[in-house]
Amino acid sequence: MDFKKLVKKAKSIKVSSEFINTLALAGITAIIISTFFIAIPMAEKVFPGIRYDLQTKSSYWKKTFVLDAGTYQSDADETAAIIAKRLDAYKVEDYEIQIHQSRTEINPEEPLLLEDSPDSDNIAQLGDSQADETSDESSKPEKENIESEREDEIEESQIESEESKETESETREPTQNNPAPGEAPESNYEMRYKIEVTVQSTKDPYYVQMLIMSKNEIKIMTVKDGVSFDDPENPYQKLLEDNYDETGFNNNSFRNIAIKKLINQQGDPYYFTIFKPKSGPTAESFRQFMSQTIGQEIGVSIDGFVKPYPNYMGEEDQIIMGLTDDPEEAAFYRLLLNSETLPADVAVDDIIDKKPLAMEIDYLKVTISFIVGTLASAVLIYLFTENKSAKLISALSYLLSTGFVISVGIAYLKITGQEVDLLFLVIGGLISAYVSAAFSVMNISLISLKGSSKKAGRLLFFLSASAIILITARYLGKGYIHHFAYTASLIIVSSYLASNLATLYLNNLKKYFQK
Amino acid sequence: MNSHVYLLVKFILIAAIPIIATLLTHFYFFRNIKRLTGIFAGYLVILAVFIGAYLLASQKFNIDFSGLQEIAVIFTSIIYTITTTIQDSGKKGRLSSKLIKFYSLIAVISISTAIFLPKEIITLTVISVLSSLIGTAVQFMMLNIANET
Repeated sequence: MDFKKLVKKAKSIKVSSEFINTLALAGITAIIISTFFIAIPMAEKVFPGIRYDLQTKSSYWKKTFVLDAGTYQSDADETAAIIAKRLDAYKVEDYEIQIHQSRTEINPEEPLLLEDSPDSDNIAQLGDSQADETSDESSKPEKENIESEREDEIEESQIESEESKETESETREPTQNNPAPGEAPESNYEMRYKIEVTVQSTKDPYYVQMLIMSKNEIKIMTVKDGVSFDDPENPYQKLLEDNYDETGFNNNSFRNIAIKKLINQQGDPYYFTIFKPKSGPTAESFRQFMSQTIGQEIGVSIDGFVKPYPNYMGEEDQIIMGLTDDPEEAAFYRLLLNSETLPADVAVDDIIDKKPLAMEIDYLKVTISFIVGTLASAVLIYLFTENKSAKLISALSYLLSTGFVISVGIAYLKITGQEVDLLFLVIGGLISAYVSAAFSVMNISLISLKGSSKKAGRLLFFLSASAIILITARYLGKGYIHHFAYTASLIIVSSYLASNLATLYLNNLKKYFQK
Repeated sequence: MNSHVYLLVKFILIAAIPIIATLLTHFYFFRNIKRLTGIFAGYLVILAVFIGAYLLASQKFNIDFSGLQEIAVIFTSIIYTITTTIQDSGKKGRLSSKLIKFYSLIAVISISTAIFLPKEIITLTVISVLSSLIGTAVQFMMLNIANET
C-alpha cells in the first residue's frame, strides 16, 4: 500500500477523548495494582518463580577504633579528614570522629609504637575472623599470612618514621609536655594525638578497619643488589620492603589506579590493578624505567607490603597486576588505592566493641500497623473535610497517594535488588504520610493553584525550604543524614505529585462510573 | 572536647541549617517580619526542647540513639516547615484548625506505626513531634504578642 494513503487513512481515524480517558484510566489502574502487589510483604510467595523479596541489610556492628596519630596536630587533623572521606566514599552508615590529646609515657628501650603490639593482635584477629567466615575460598589463608607479614612491615616502618620525625622536629614543633606536679620527669612523657573513630555499619568490618588504618603509600621498587629470594625457609622475603630499593615512583606518579575486570590466563574473569603514570615527563621517565628493568623482577609496595611484578613486557607504559576475583574486594581496593595518603603512620591503640542500635524490625508487623495508621488517618481526613462532595475523594486521595509512593519505592528496591534499611523505609513511609496529610489538609492541589498566588507561594515556600534543608544536610552532613537526605527529598516531591495525580485519577474514575 | 559539649555544638550546627533555610525562604516569599520573629522563636524552643529531651533520654535513661538523633533533627525541621506552611493558611493570631487537623493526623500515623518499632525510634519520634508542637505553640504566642503590641 502507498505510504501516503496509509498516513491519510490513519489521520482520518477519529479517536474520541472518552476512549483516551478510558485507556489512561485502565493503564493507571493496572500500574497501581501491579506496583501494590510487587510491594506487599511476602510477594515472592504470591508470585512463585519471581524474585520479589526485599533485600534487607544484615545486622549492624559497632566499634570504636582508637588510633595514635603522633605528636603533630596537623597530622591528626589531616588523618581524620582523610578517614572521613574514605568512610563516606565507602558509604559507611554512621561514624563519629573525635580527636583528643593523651599524655603517653615514653619507654626509652622500646619504641612507642611497638608497645601497641596488642593492637596488631586485634588486627590479626579481625583478619582471622574474616578468613574463617570465608574459609571455603582457597585464597584466604594466603591472604591471612600476607596480612600478618604486612603488619610486621607496618610496625617496622613506623619505627623508622618515628626516627625520621625526630630529625624533622627542627621545622615542626611538637606539642609541649605538661606533666602533673609530683609525677615522673617531663622527658618521660609526651603529648600524643589520639583519634577515636566510632563506626556503626553493616559493611564488612575488615574493609572498614583497613580504610581507617591503611596509609595507602604506594611505591614502585626494584630488588636490592645481592638480595636473593631463593631461600626456601624464607618464602616471604620477596614481600618485605627492606629487600627493595625505591625508584621515586609513588602515588603522585599515577593519574589514577584503575581496577578493571579482564580475562585472566585461565580464561576466567578477574580484577586487575592498572598503574598508569601521569602524562608528560612522568610517563616518559616511567617508560624509560620499564625498558631499563626489562627481564627483571620489580615490585609494587603498598603500605610496606611488596607485590612482586616480573617485568617481561619492558616497553609498556603501565603496570597491570592481578588483584582478585571478588567484586566486593575489587570495589574496596578501587576506593582505597585512589584515596589520599595518610600524612603519617597510625597505630591502632585499641578496638572497643560496642552494642549497636537494634535495627531489627519485623517488616510484616510494621507494614500492618502502618496500614492501620494510614486507614485511621484517612477516616479522620474524611471527617475533617468540610465540603461534603469532596469528603470521599480527599480521604481516598490521601490513601492512594501515600500507598502509591511507598509501593513504587518498595517495588523499585525489589526489582533492582538494592539492599535497604527497614528502619529508613519506615521513616520514609512516615514522611510520605505526613506530607500527603499536610497537602490534604491545606488543599494545595495543582488545580487550586490557578489564580491563587497565596497557595502557590505556600507551596513554593514549603518545597524550597524542604529542598534547602535536605540538600544542605546531604552535603554538610555525614553518615545516616548524608544517605537519607536525598531519599527524603524524592519522597517529598513525589508525595506532592502523587497526591495531585491521585485526586485527578479519582475524579476521572468517579466520572467514568457515574455515566 | 567534652563529648556532651561536642554533641550540643553539633546539634546546634545541624539545627542552624533548617533555621536559616526556613527563615530565608519565608522572608523571600512572605516578607512578614512579625511572623518571621515567631518562626525564629519557635525554632529556638524546638531546639531547646529537643536537646533537653535528648539529653534526658540518653543520660538519665541510657538510651543510645547511635547517630539517629541527627535524622530526627531534620525530621523535626520538616514537620515544623509543614506546620509553618499550614499556619500561613490560617487566620492571623488564631490557632489554625488546619494545624490541629494536621497534628491529629500525624499523631495517629506515628502512634500506630511506632508500636512495633525499637524503643529508640519511638523515643525520637515522640521527641520530634512534641518539640515541633511546642515550637508551633510558641510561634503562635509570639505572633499574638506581636499583633497586640
